[in-house]
Amino acid sequence: MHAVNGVSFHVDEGELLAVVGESGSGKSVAMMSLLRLLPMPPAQIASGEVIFQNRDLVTLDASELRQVRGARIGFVFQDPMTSLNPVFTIGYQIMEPLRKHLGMSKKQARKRAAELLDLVGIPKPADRLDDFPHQFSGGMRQRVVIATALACDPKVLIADEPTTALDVTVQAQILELVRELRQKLGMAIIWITHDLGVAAGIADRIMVMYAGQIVEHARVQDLFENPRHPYTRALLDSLPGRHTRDERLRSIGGQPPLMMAEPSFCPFSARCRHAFDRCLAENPPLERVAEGHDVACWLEKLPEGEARRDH
Amino acid sequence: MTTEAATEAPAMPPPAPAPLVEVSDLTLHFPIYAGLLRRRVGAVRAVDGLTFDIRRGETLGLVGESGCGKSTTGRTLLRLYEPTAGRIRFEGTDISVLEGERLRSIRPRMQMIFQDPQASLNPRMTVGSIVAEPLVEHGVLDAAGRRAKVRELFDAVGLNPDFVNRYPHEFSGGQRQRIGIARALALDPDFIVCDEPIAALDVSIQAQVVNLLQDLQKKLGLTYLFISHDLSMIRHIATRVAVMYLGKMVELADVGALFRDPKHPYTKALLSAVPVPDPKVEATRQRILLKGDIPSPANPPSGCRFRTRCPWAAPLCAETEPEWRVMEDGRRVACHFAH
Repeated sequence: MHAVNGVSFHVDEGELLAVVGESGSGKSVAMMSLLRLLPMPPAQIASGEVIFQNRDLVTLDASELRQVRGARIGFVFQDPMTSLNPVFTIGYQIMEPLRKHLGMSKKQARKRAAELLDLVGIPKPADRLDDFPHQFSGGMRQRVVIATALACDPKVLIADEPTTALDVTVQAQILELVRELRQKLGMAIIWITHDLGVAAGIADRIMVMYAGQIVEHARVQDLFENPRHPYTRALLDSLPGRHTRDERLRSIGGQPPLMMAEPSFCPFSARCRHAFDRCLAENPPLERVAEGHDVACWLEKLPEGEARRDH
Repeated sequence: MTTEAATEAPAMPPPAPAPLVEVSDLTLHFPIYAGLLRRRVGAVRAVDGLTFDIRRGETLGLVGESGCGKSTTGRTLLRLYEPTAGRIRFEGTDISVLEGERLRSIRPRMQMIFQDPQASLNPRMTVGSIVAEPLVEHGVLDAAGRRAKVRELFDAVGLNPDFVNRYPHEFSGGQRQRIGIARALALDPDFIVCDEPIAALDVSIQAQVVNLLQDLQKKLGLTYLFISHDLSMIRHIATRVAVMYLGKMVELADVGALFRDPKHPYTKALLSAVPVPDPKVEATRQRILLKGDIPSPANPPSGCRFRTRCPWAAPLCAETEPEWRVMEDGRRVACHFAH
């Protein structure tokens, strides 16, 4: 199974990069492999490098990697119930990285933990340190997870569908919190989501993934105003908010492919309305088509006019 | 005054379609038992006094956050749960009191499509026998007739009829949801409760299933109760929308009116929280952020249940429960201050 193929991207300091794709598009696997969080074997990074502050994370040994994970790069997962340990108090769980990575004393760590809970908007933080995860609601639990991820003041925060398990009004609270935290702390964030609405609201740049590859990458306004890859356009078209009510939703027929071998064709070609012979013979590379806008599609190589025939 | 009665009818605006389902004061409490003797110590008030109707041929959207009682409402309408109090009338027949054979005879007309097509299809049955099961159960058609009907149903939901002998795991999520839809259609129902039918599907697949549901509605004259937390999809598919909060309905209005001009403060907050796939809108829109979390339905706040998170809350709200009143434009709202 080739879950992620030839994915290259960068995140600048203080920037929010959203990674958008459907389930199975490889968006989580790509980001987990940055920190080698996948069980290896069976997972294997066949090639590539991950440069973080001028060091290649792929070649670090286990103890060096531990110093990066949790300390310099924080992680927030989708389901707050499974990422918190039910048998430890949340205070213990927030203090753990502080004591391990920053060598704080118990007293210092406790003080810092209460500050962190306050930062993520949990009322009466000092009193809640001794509570267990089940004593918090879903939204509060996700705030605790964010506090844990922020504990060591990371440079990069990777958030994997952090609001997907939450209700919309709670999601709105968490999104607002993240906007605030970005201003206060100025870290870079990689935000993995399948919800284009969420991405539109918080991202600086968006990367669209399909079948383990980046198919389009652009600044957020460019992506929504001028989507160029047929998959991005079809995805936007299938959203109910972008139609008048009497129109049918434009669905994308078929299913995403399973990449069992290195792709020798465009993975979207089977579902693409514009596919032509070259799409079946060669996999298009991600290439720059405009300032800050990259697309992996052979249509871009067709003469002007013909390439835009669908519009 | 016989002439008045005769002239009154044509002078009225075109009548709303007759209700297919009429619900009055529907209540469902799940008891909580505790202690050594398993005494009843309280109740989760999952659904608490709902009054509304569903018109023939419409799609009534039912929205709310998790735990607000929307799924319980859907299931109670089909008598999958026994209501604690209240009436459910289906075409005028009070089905909340029907028992045994009389209830069974009305069941084919009301069906359900479930959220998780993985969990609602028996993995050890072929998809053909899954779709045929309601026909067998209700003794409709002979074996050959059933086989023909199943193929017809597969065709209607866009599945290849040659796949009837396959098992659920051989299908993708969207296809499995189509199988669930085919099963719901087997007995030619009038009314289908769709309980989050697209929540488990990817965006591009959601559109396929929603289009299918709309096509079937047009072709077969179906009436839907469409339960969802996805407000943008509700806006697309529903005729009218009911908003629930903590076991109560807070607002019920035509879809256009509700999205254009929500009256209840909870509806306003809910709509403002939905992310819009447009960065320009996202950058400029006003958000109403609710404080805190939904209280427990086992111990709801006194008076208005939304008051603990409501930006408009006043002392009156803690004392008196707001009436489920009809506003000038015909919508219903439960708020002292909505105008």
